[in-house]
Amino acid sequence: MENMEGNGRDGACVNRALSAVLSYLPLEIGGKVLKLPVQVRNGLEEIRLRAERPLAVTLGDADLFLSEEGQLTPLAAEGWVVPASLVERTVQLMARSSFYALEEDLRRGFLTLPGGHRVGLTGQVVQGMEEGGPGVRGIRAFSGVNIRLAREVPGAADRVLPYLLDEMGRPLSTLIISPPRAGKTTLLRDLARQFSDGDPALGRDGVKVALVDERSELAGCESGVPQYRVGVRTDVLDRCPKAQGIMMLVRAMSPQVVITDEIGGAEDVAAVQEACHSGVAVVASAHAAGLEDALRRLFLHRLLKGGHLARVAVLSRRWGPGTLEAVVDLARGEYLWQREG
Amino acid sequence: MGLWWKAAGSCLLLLAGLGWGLDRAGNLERRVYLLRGLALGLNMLGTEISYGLTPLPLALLKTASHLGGIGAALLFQGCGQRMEAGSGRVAAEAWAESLDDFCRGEPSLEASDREVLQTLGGYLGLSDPNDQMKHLKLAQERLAFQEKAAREAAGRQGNVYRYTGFAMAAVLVLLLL
Repeated sequence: MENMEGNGRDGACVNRALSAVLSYLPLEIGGKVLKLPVQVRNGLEEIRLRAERPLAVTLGDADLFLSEEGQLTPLAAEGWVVPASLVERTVQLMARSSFYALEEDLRRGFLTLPGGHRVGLTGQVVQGMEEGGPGVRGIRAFSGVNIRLAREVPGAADRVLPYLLDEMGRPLSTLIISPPRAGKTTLLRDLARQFSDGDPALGRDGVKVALVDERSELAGCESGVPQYRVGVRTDVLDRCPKAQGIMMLVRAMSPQVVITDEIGGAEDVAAVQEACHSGVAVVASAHAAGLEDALRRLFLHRLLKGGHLARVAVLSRRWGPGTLEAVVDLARGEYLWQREG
Repeated sequence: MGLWWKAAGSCLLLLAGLGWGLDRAGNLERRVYLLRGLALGLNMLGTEISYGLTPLPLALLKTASHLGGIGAALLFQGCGQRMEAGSGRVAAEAWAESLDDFCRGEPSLEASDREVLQTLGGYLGLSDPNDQMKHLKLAQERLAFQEKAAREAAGRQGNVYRYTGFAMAAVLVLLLL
């Protein structure tokens, strides 16, 4: 899993992903993206709309702008300025004019498009009283949209997989950590597929996998049906809060491994611990620059030091998204693999 | 021979007059029927939105399907299909286009009926379920008011049109004979 970019295998997936996203964009914006050369389009990671500011795209580590003619430029002054009304229109198209059905998503500041593409939103926050006191009720007067193109990279987990199995070939409880946009979700998706399908050539049997896909990003479900290959023995609980979802699956689906994305608080940690106590391996991800940073986050410290997890895999973008930096055996406190330099 | 032609012409005139009268009276009744169907459709749409949290394109198509053969179904179906097509139309635009088509095919609807639906289109899908229900309820109440007026007009003017059409044709026949 050296580098998820440019390995040629995912070109078709990216094209499909981009086509799906473009169908939700106003023609004024989609048309400009379509004018980009195919190779550039395949490398797009993000499309960013900011009201009354230039249309921006992220290509690898480069933040560039799109001109009126649909040309890439590093100069903001040459970028095509997105009218505020077009930002509002884009959000309406992406929400399919169904804001009433997306209240929870808007409260958390993002939507997920079919195919698992996350759309981050900014604008004027509406506050209100929640159960625990004042809280965010939603966003209105949208001013910014960040579309992150999800992609399926079969084989993304090849390098890390041998370190995440015990001597019997069964998955070990693992936390995958990295900063944002380093390939955690793509790796989790491929781990789900590989755990679930097994590898008959290597004599490794598949196991029952349960996915808690809170934001529809891991499996990219449409009407509950996964659009990504997440494995033949995988059950998906789509758009379910992680903490509840983990326990629901443990009780109802008798999985051997539960996979979920972005552990975000004490409630999630408690659910992971509970699942581990139930004899189920849990593979999850969390935001942190490295193991030391993860240990500084209070709830992750509890999880990492609690003896529930067997492995930690650290990712970065050093050599592109999905660069494996290290794999740590938590029980022994030693690095099983570490990138040099 | 000439008498036969006169008799045949008179019959045709009487039939034409009667047909005109029946058509005008039918239009008045058609308007009542459509307004009732539209209000029923909005009620069903409200259920899909507030209880099912069904995405708007699907909610519109389901409403059309539930309405079945009722004429108002075409408005909901047209809007749902336009939004499903992924043609870059937001709800207000798809609704306005569908309303144009619908009203072209249903001349019995009056400008005031259309205005109720046009106003609603600007709010469709843009707020939380409670607010959506308020807009839908308001539109239903306005349509009910329109329907009441339309029913009264149909009762009052329907017979007038029927008799007037026949009577005018009869007068014409007498004048021509």
